[in-house]
Amino acid sequence: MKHVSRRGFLQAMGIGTGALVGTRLAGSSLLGNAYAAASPEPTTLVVVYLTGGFNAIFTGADAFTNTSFGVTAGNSTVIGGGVVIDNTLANAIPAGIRNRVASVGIRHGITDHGNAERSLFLSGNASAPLMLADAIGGTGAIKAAVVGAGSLPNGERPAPVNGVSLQPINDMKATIEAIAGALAAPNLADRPTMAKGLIAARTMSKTAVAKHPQSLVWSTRASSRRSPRCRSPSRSSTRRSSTPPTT
Amino acid sequence: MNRAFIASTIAALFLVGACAAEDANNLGNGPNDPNSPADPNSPADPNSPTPTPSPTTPTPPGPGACEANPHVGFAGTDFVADRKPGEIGTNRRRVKPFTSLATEYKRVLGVVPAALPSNVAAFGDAPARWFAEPSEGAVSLYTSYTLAFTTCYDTMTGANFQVAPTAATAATECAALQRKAWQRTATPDELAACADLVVNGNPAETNPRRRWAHGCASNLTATGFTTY
Repeated sequence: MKHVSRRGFLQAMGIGTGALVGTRLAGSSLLGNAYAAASPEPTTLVVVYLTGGFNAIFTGADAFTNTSFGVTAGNSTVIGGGVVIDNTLANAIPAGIRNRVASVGIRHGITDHGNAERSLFLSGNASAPLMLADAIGGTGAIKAAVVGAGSLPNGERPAPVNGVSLQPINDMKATIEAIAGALAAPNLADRPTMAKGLIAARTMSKTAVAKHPQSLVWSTRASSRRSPRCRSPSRSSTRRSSTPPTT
Repeated sequence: MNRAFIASTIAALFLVGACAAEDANNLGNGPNDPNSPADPNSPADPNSPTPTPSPTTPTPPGPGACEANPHVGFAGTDFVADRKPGEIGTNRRRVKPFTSLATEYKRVLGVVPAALPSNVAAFGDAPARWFAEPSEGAVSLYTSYTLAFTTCYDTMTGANFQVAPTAATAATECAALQRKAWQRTATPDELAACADLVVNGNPAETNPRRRWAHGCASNLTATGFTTY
């Protein structure tokens, strides 16, 4: 059987919706990217999004030392690099990687809670995690994943960054099968032909994806709102005369 | 009283009719529009060399026609000022929810994939009484393909699938399957992609049924089937 790499196989699974851009599928270099010489190790950025927020004593306990919430030098740990966190969390992090923990604060200045949550994951209009995953490079089949039934704030599905998209991982069994492959049987798909079948499906989906890029591939803040209703030209010509149209 | 009731009813019907006309204009005539010649129920074949022009093709609205109604708040800010008018018919397709897949597979293949219920997590189905907009990813598409392949293979027991496909038979079978699965006639490019896969996907395969099943599964993984 012709060898198909795991990454190449997953790349071929870019059909139309979220997976189109998953694992560097955008553009014409479908399998070309799969075999492209790249970084020496597979890398994957995993986003663990905890709905409800993260207590500040887990990210910057020194802000409260001897002032609030009972934080003292005795129940917090300096893990290096200027990061001070709660003892319980610090002890849960292996000592060997504690000096690689970063605590990133974001001064968004937004009072709208939902929009503020969303801004935590953006750099301008681009997805910050995807920019990071793209910059990391590597040969991971799934380069950026959001794990669990939830997703990013407001159900965001950010636009891909240089072909790197955020892939939902809802089920590890199916994920392992997708990466490792299933057993051989007459009524089970073989991976080489399946990869071609998925490429064919992508071709068949091309028109729909081109016409519905936001609703099928990713959503944006604008598209998640109610769609504006078209109005007759005679009515629209009399309104918003003082407001320049937005683009 | 009766007169007032009749008058109010007529007024209500008039309003409903006006809104319906406006919505019809908004929807446009996409390939899945029942009034579109691309619809499987339409006698017009979009692949015909001389396609019948649609008499109801909408005229794009003028600039500003699709802007939202202004909603000005206490601070004088228009909350909808940053809304962007979209093109007619764009960004309307959505991924079919998992709950619809059983009947969809049965509609096309006649049976529900046996492994479908055990793969619910791969599709990220929302818990009862909760809603989550369905989305697709690499894993769910892999699962879709494998489910479809197995079910296609198990159901493609006809004599026409026991012989190796040719360009002609592949085109015929692909066209029939695409029309049934997608509820519209495939475009020439879509048809060619399917036929090429069946004929050239794995010519060394000694079991013709598997070659046909790959074509079937590919069609059932495309957006024509997985979205609406």
